Amino acid sequence: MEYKTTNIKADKFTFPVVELLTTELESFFNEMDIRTSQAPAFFLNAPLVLDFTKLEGNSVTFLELVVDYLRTRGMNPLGVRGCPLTLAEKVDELKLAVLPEERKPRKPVARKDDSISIKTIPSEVPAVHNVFHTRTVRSGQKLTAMDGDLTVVASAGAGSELIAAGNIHVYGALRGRAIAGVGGDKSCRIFCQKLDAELVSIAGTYRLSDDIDDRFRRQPVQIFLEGEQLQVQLLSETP
Amino acid sequence: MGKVIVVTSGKGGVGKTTTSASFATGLAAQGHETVVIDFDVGLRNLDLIMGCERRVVYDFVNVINKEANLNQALIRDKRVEKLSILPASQTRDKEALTEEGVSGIINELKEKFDYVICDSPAGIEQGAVMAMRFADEAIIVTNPEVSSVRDSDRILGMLSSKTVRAETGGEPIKEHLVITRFNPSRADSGEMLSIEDITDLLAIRLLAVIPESESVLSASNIGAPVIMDKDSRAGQAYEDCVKRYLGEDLPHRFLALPKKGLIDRLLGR
Repeated sequence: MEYKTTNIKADKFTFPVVELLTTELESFFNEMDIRTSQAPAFFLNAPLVLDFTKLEGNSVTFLELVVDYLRTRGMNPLGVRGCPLTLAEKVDELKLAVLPEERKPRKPVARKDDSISIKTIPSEVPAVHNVFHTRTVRSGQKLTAMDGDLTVVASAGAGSELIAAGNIHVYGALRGRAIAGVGGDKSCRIFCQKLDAELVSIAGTYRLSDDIDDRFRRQPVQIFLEGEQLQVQLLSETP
Repeated sequence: MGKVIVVTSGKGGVGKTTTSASFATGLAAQGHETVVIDFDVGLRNLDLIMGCERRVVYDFVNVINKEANLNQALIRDKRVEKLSILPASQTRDKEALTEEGVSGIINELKEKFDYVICDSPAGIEQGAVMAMRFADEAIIVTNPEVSSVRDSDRILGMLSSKTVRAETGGEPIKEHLVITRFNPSRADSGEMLSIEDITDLLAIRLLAVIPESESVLSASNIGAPVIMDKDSRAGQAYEDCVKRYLGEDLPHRFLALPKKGLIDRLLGR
């Protein structure tokens, strides 16, 4: 039969998988709050998959409270995996999809001894989509590039947010927040012609304006991760 | 068809109403039919600055609620022939401003007047959003001071996203910067932001610099917009502002301190 109302095709997506490691709700809430404040745009409306494989002794109430918490924080838990049968009815009630288990064991990318770990499982590399802006980014504006680099050919005012899965380039003054490598790519860098940023972050490691040395202020710099440390380097000093 | 110009700032107390009043008066004096609307529902000031507070019968909200028609609410200025004022309500609040209501009134005014000046309230909520919603151009009033500049930047962001022109992909709103309460000696000593600092941070075209002047307070007390005080530096700066807006290429005055004459120096002024 020839279908005229829809086209159905398979497509691949990359979702963060939240591997639950403890049923202690307080700690979970606290740590999630910290994570979301470090990369707010990454988590806003983010579709999430909850992984119960590593969790011992869970309950229907636990699932409900976790989902409720995530939803009120603006996240979108849309599926589960590794759930015991006892939770099946609740999963159905919460309209969560049941997704397949992980096929090969993978080392968790936990930075500290967290009670949860978040990792992305790319099933295929998504197409790169770079975003360009040529007008001044105003205070209160938030620009995102979730599949590539973000380049601003103008200045970004104090109170603005630039968020990218890739690199961030500002051909002007960077006065707001710059959050690069939001998907976890630690090789990402931030470049600007005049550093006056309130906060810079690469793959979750961040530094406040207060902690940036004065000799970099209002200078053309690049910022990158060396191990777990953020490095700020004058562009004039690049070998 | 008239042009809708919003006078906005984000920050409160920087001189939006003072500027709206003087700018509208200046345009009318140059021969253009002008109406100035007070969008600060509940905290109306424009009628005081314009000196027509004793002639307010109906207001903006009455017209929105169809309790009066536009002609009943509009007040003709007694001094400047082509100038009219549409006052705000004092007893209600900004929730009374509806999109359809405001839209209808602005469209009606565009047919009668060459310029429709919208005096925005401070902030970024309903009142400010409604004031800028239908604007073709915007005057951003800024004091040479960090929080005012930050708030003006925010408002500039909203002008490019929360207006009908932005939402329908129309031609972008033309933005003009008016720096008010400028004190050259404080700018020189670094206490106040300089004009270069402000234009660098905001990146919009500078229309006018209005110097700090005691005449502004006196003007609002007597209910005559300061542009009518020909001796005042602020008044003259507003005069220049209107002329520059209408196309004249005038240099910016009052950027430096007035030179003290011999008598002044002898008297230690």
